[in-house]
This record gives sequence, C-alpha cells and structure tokens, in this order.
Amino acid sequence: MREYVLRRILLMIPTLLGVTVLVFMLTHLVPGDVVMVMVGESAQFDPENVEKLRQQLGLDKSLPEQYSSWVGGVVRGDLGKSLWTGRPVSETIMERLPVTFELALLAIAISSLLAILVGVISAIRQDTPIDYIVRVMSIGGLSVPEFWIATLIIVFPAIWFNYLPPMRYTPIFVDPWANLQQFGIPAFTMGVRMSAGVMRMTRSQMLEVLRQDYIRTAWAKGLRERVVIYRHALKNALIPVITMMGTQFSSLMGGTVIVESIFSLPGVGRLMLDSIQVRDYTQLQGNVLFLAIVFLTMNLIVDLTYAWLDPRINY
Amino acid sequence: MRSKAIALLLGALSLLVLGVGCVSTGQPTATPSIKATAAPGTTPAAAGEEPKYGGWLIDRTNDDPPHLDPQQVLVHTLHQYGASQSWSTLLRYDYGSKVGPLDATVVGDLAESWQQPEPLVFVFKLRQGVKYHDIPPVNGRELTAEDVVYSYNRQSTKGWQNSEFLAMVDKWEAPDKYTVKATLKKPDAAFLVTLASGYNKIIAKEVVEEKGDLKQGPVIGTGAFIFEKWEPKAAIHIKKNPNYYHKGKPYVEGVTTLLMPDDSTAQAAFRTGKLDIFPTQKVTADTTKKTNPEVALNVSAGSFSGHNLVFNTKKPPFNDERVRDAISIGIDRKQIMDTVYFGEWIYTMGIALPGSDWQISQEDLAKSYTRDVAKAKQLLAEAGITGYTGELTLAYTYSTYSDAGEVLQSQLKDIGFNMTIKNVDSPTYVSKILPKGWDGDIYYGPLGLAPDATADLMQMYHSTGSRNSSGHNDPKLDKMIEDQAGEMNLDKRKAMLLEIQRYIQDKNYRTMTGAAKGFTLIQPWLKGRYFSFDSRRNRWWEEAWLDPAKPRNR
Repeated sequence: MREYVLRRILLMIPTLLGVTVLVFMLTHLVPGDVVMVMVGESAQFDPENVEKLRQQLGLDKSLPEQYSSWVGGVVRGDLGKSLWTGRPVSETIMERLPVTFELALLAIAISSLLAILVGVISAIRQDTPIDYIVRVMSIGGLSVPEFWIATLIIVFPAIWFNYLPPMRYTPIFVDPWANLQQFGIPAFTMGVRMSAGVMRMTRSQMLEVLRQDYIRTAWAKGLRERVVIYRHALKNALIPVITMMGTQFSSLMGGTVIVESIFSLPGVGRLMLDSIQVRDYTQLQGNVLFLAIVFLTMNLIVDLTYAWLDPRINY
Repeated sequence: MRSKAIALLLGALSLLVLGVGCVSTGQPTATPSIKATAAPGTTPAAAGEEPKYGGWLIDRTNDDPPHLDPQQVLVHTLHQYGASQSWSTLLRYDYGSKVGPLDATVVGDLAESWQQPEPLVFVFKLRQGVKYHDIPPVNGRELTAEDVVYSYNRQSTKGWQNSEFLAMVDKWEAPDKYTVKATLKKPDAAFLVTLASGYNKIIAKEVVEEKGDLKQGPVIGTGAFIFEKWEPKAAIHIKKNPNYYHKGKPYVEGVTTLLMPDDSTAQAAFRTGKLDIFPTQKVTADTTKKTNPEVALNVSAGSFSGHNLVFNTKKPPFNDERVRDAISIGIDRKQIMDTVYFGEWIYTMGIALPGSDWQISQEDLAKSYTRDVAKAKQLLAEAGITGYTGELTLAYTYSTYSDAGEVLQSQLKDIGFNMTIKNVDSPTYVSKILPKGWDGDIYYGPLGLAPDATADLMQMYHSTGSRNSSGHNDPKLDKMIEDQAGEMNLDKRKAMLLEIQRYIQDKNYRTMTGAAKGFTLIQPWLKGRYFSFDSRRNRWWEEAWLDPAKPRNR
C-alpha cells in the first residue's frame, strides 16, 4: 500500500508539470490583455504609459521567460502575486478555500444521504409507484438548472415571508449558527441537484448486486432484509457511487460559481471566474494548478477507498 | 453571472463622469450655468423636511475592490463605493435637488476658491483646519498644500492607471501652507472638470511612507466617512467622520456596502428591506414595485454614453462616406433601443459634453436619425454597393448589447448587409476592439467616456487618438478638436463643440443608437438621495438621512 501511494504521488509530478504548460498556454492564448483591461475602456491611455505598466507587471518578457519564472516559483512553493491585487495567489486561494470546502462538504453530505437512501429504496421496490416517483424526480433533478432552483429559493421566500438568508459570509468558527444559515440553503440546493445522478447510479448498482448469487445465498440463509441490503448488497454497490461522488467533490471545489454568486459566498469558484474575467493570469494559473492538485488527490483517495470497500482489491 | 467583467467594463463606464466644461473665473461656483434637459435629480424627501441624524445606511456593490490604493486602479468598487467616501478631492461636482444628472458644475471640495492668473496657471486656496481622520500614523493632523502636491505627484507616476487624469499638468507646487499652484503644459479648457473627477483623491503620505503603498490600507483621508472595516467578499463598513469640514454632515452614522454579485439576490434583499437603495433595470423595477408599492422609483435622464456603432473606415466599403451614411439612416434606432429598454432611453452623441444643452437637441437628433430605407438604398446604389457580407462584432457585456445587436443585424439585412455576429467578452472588447488598429467590419457595444469632451474627442475622433478604432484620418476634424481644447471662452467653445458634433454626424465614422435611462428603487425611509451629477461617486451619502418615522422592515 505504501509503495502504491508513493508511486501515485510521484506520478503526480509529470501530470502537474503538464498542467502548468497547458494552463500557462491557454491563459495566454485567451483573447484580451490584462494591461488593457486595467487601463479600462474609458481611460485616455497613452501607449507609453501602457508599456510602462506592462513592464511593471513583468508582462513585457517573452512567454518562455514568463513561464520559466512562474514554474520556478511554483517549485519553490510560490504561486506568484495577483496582477490586480498584488497579493500572493496562494494566500487568496487559502482565504477562499474554507468557503468552497464547507459548501462542497455539506452538499456532498446532503446529496449522499438523499441519494443512497432513495436509490436503495428505489432498487428494492423496483417497478412500484415509489420507484416511478423517485425516478421521475431524479430526472427532474438532473434537468433543472441549479441557478434556477437557487433563484427561486431566494426570490419566493422574500416575496411570501419577507425572508432572506444571511448574505454576509460568517466563518463557522466565528458564529456557527449564522454560518449554517448562510450555507444551509445553498448546500441543500446543490445537494438535491447532485443527488439525482448519484441516486440513479446507486439504484442501478443495487439492482445489479441484488441479482448476484451471494445475495440469493444471504436470503436463503434467512438473514434479515436490513442485513442483506445494507451489509451485503449496498457495500458492494457503492464502489462506482464513491467514484462518482469523489469526482463530484473535486468538481465542486471549482465549480460552485453560480451558487456562490447567488448566495454571496466568497469561494474558489468565484475567484476562478473573476480571474478569467479580468485576465489575472497569475491568479488564474494558480487557481487551476490548485484544482488540478485537488483532482489528483481526490482520485487517489477514491482509489484507496476501493480497498476499504472491497477486500479483494489489494494495492 | 458576469459580475466581474461587467463590473470592470461598466464600472469604469458608470464611474467615469460625463463632464462639464467650465473655466474658473476666480470663484469656485462661477462655472457655467448648464441645465440638463431632463428633470433635475429628485429625492423622496418632501420639500421642507428637516434631515434627521442617526441610522445606518445599507448599499450594495457587485464586487470587492482589488486593493485600497485609489491612485493605482480605476474601478468603481474603490472610487464609488465604500472606501471612496474616506478621501476628499480638491474640486468636485455640485450636487443637490436642483442639480441635474448631466449637470457637472465644478465646485470646491478641499479648495475654497481658485484663480487663473495666467492662461497656464491655476492657484487654489485650501480650506483651513481640515483634519485627517484620527488614525495612526496620521493621527488627525491638519491637511496642507504639501499633501495635495504629494498626492498629485504620486498619482502622476508613469504606468499608473490614474496618471492620465493629471497628464495635462506640468508641475504642482505649494507656495504656502494653504495654496496649491498648478502649471499646465498648454491651455486646457477641460482642466478643472478633469481635476474634479473622483479619481483624483487626496491621500496621506505617512501611510505610503510606512507601507510602501496604500494597497492594504489603512485608509486615511479627510472625507465624510471614516473607513471602519473591510470584510473581504462580504462587506465594507464606513462610519461618520465627526470632524468633517462640511459641518453638520453626514447625517447617517455609517454606511455598509454589501457585496452581492447577483442582481436577483439584490432584488430580494431590497424587497425584504435589507438594502436601502437598488439601482436596476426597468423590468426589475416594475416587478419590485408590484410587490413593494411603497418604495420610490427614480428614473434618471440617461447619459452621454450608450450604444456605440463603429465602422472600419480603413477598408471597403466602409471607407465610403455614402455607405456609412446609408447604414446610419438605414437602421431604426428607435426599434433597437425600444427592444431592450422599453422606450426608456434618449438619443446621444457619445461625447462627455459640458451639459445636455451642449449636445444637439433630442428633437434634432430624432429627426436626423429617422429611418429611411429607400434613401439608404439609393446612397448604396450611388456608391455601387448592392450587398455586403461581413462580420458584426458585438460586445457581450450586458445582454442588452447583444440583444440590441441582433435587432441591428436584422435591420442591416434590410439594406443588403448580411452580417455574421461575432460576440466578444468584455476583456477582449476593451483590449482588441476599442483601441486603434481594430481590423473588423462593424462593431457595436458600450462606450465609456472620459471626464470631458476634449479627452473623448482626442481619443475617438482625432486621427492619432488611441481609441480611433474606426481608423479615420481627418485633418479638418483634428484641427477642430484641437482648437476647442484650448478655447477658454465658454460660448465660443460651446459653438465649436456643436459644430464638431454636426461634422461627425455628417462623417459617420461612428454613430450612437442611444443611451438607456437609469432606474433606482429607494426605500421609503431613505431621504436626501440626490440624482445629480456627482451622485455617480456616491457623494449623496453625505446628504442622505433615514426617516425614523418610516418603519424599517429589515
């Protein structure tokens, strides 16, 4: 196991190196110029002034020079400074990380609870009215865009009950209740939406497992339904579900931008979008590299979870 | 959510004041009397109501400022909201119930009076006894002329985004403790208007000396509000400055600017009383009024800016004046603007003129912009054009531009121009389309204006202009622009600017389809909100007061 983990970690290095090349190239290939964005549409800019600003930001150097300077910093653990704020990129990411992490964690928790419970019920009550209702709801959940649900959740309570969830981010350690009020609704919105896919996966996996010989044997031995379903069937059905949830969690670390915006949550998703929209190259590169590390780490964790779920898997 | 891009592009757009040309005659208020054709700014306060003290005002913005150095960034999140209220300027624009939204009369802020003893020299007398906020390392010391000179010299640092606002000044001097002297490089009719822009803030040198720059604060100025706290990506809080030099102001105890990137969230917050004011679009204003009939709605007069249509005059067929004229009269501006603004818009020339009566009248603009497809086709026939297939670049910033662009596309088809739409995002629009050297066919998008007509004309219409994206070369127009820039006589300059407008209308290097009016919802308890020119910098917070007689349901 230790060798396996070490090998996987070492394999991350060339992957991340590839990511740096791709991210750097793509960032600089996107049309638009951060210096001109800074100067603004309205400013009466002087070309000499623009060049001076470009020099100050280090953007007058050739792309290979800029890349090597950036990667050199990355190797030393320095992701550089934001072109706009002048703040260290890593500092900004770490500031935003708790928001997205908490949101993703809560959303995954809500999604798992809902999806696994409903997926199992749907599978063991296959082709009953409960199954049909659950399947229709899951298709609905997959079809309805997240921003629409989030907007409805904001707008209607405001009109009907004069209620608006707290809109100022409060860290959980400062005021847990205020924090939960702010995160509860967006996490629920995302959790419900995400649960649709996981539920369908749980159901199909459960249906497959329930037809296996060892389950028939378990029934034949006279085991109780709860033991058969939860101890023997569910655990074996969960491997692809865990993979799916792992991927979902990784995606959430950078992909909660819409919900973050609607609920005024200052997370990594918004940071990513903001960086793209103002062409903050260094911040954007740092964000993407960070997300790549999250993805790779989550994949490793998911792989290691397989061994725990299925004793036949041995690294 | 396109908040940041929009914030960037339109933030600069909304903040950059639409200037007024005025020349000092020795008195700070002796600027030209310029009346807006639209109704002056209104306030929900009934006439004669005495302002009440107390309460905390809640406003909203769509993003954080990138940092807190007002001399190194041109974003509305720093120059209009939150920290912006902590700094003063030497001059400012007048505001109040009698000052119209397009009426930018220059008055003193830190300057008590000024004179122009020589064509190139301006001398400003400062208010005495103005104190900085009582925060280390400045500790409430008195502001002097040296501070003004230091601030403006620092702002003029080459490469800094705000330096262009003071580029016309050769040197700043402080002959004594309360006198500031500016020597210009050449006569400039726009100097005072540009100087009064909110970008030219007076800072405290001790903070720069201690920290190297102002990016991480502390924010220390002499403004109406003291910067209290910045909760990144959540809110900025400022509190009343008890030693403010405009005695008796501000009325509220403080202001919190909430960061809400999403408009529907802001609308919900306004509905539930958690926001005191909500600038928005007509449709949102109407739906909010249905559920909250007690709120007040202000409709502003529009602006000099708006929807901009530009032809690439370097390439055929747009190098032919008849083709440009044909397109200008072949499109239906009313239909384009009505589609996205439901009739709430005005005609505009797209130049920051000294006042709305310095612009060609709405009636004349409407008349000259009446659609005439037959005449357009006749002009095209004379030019030998039977049809054209090309690209229409649209700035995809707000959906209003792309929606309007689609109407424009169909109208162009009516006169034989089959244009394929190419959407570009905000940074691409700013970097690749607006500057000189653009190589497309036609583009359509927002127009940001400088504080004064001279800067706009020099950038967009002068052959050497950095934003001459149409690529025209017109020595006659260049001379007209240069002549008005140095004309200090108001009447003569006004006549010259009107002549320039008629000339550029005739040449059609670029044209405007119109400018939207602004809609702002105001809670019944918020009083003293003036929609005058300077309100763009949120200086109205100084005048605002909260009526304790009106229940607040937040």
